[in-house]
Amino acid sequence: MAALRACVYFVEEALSSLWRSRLINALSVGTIAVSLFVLGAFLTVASNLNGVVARWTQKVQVTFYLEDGLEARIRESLVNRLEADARIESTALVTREQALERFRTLFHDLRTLPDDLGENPFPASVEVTLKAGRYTAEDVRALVSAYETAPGVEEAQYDLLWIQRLSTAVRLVRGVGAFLGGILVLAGVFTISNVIRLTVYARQDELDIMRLVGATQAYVKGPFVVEGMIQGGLGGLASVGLLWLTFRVFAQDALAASDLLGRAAVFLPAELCLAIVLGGMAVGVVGSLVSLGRLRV
Amino acid sequence: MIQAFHVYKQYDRETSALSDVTLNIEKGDFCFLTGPSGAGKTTFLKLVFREELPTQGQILVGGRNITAIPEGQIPHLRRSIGVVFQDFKLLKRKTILENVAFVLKILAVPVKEQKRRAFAALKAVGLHHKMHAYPLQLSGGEQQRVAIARALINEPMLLLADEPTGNLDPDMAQEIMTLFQDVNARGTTVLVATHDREMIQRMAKRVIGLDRGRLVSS
Repeated sequence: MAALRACVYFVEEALSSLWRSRLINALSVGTIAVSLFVLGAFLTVASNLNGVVARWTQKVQVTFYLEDGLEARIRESLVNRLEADARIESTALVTREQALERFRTLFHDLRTLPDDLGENPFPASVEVTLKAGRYTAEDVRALVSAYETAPGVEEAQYDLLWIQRLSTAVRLVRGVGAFLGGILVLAGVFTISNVIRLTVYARQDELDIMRLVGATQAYVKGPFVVEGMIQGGLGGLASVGLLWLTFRVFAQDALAASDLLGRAAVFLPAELCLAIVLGGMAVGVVGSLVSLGRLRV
Repeated sequence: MIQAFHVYKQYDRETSALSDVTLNIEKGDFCFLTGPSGAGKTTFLKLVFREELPTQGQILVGGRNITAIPEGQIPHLRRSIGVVFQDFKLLKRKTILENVAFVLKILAVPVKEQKRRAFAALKAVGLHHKMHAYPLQLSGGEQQRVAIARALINEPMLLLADEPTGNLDPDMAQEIMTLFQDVNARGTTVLVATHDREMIQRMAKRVIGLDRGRLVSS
């Protein structure tokens, strides 16, 4: 009960202090909001790109294009060899006709092009999907070199390299986000600690009186810690709100990119939004503690 | 209640605020600490409620060596001591009722009880009718009485008062002294720092004299 009463006191004092110096406190909240917004924006981009990479790498394919007029015996022998390979999850034979049909479905506007050419330009192929855990560049290259000279194989094609490049890009986006966000979060800690320090200076007499009548360190410092926590939490909430608004504004562009992404762009998951708000509160608490570190009680 | 052994206090190399002060104040005593300005009265009080540490020597309050208690114990020591500061030290943003109740608030006393006791303490100093006023709306004398009410609200084992009647007219000063006597009669040890010779004579209590930091009579 005593602890509850102390908490109520901390919150009351913190709210009253926030209101008294609302302009300067708005500066703290704004700094935190901007810091977390930058971090959140990078997280949103990275998490969407990451989803794409994850989806694509779940289905790494190698396509072996077959020679024209290949004998069925050789083709079946190749398919049998591929199916027996422990690295391979599944194989799919795509005939020339199926390849043509696929082209016509995917590129509706160009559907008459093969007719203009007067022949079906698409070769037959065997599409190979690798087993999970076999996606490294070395695995794919080993598989390709094992079969690209096999009888009946004209050419091998695989998309792993640029998936890897995309993964690197995602890591870069995430890294830059963490770096910039980190610097801005430090700026947030610095701002909150200075704003709290100003409040402490302004109320030094009051704090002296509190300790002289027997208030403990926790009792004197508690309201300031809660004040920092509220500032940080408000900053976190503002950043999530701002992120959401920005996401809505760019939702149309994101929708246009959905073909590339393989799905509509998504906003940060609720847990991550909560983490941003809690992160803001943590930044506020750290900022307060930094400024209260040397306070004599 | 207070035992001081060869206490020295120096703020800088040249001047000694207190020099070799040894004294003993029994539990239940009512004493005056007197001397001219700069004699070391306020410094001695500050040492007793551990606002400052002596440069040398030991001080025992209620049997505890307060020069050696851990930092975390200082608030508990202060809660058992009521202090009336020369400059009142009231919270300007709080009403006088809240000021007086604050001591109970930090002890986590229920709110109703805080208000009831704060009102009673203000009534004892004749200011209950102004309980919603803020310190700066009151005269110096009235602020002094609020400070006294706050010092007494927790029924401390020791009451320290630094020039408590300096801002009061003679009638009010006498009333405050009567209040201190009542508190003392209930078992609280009272130590009043003052240079009001007239009042000291009128009260006929033990007098401890300081001059330039040295004990000249006890």
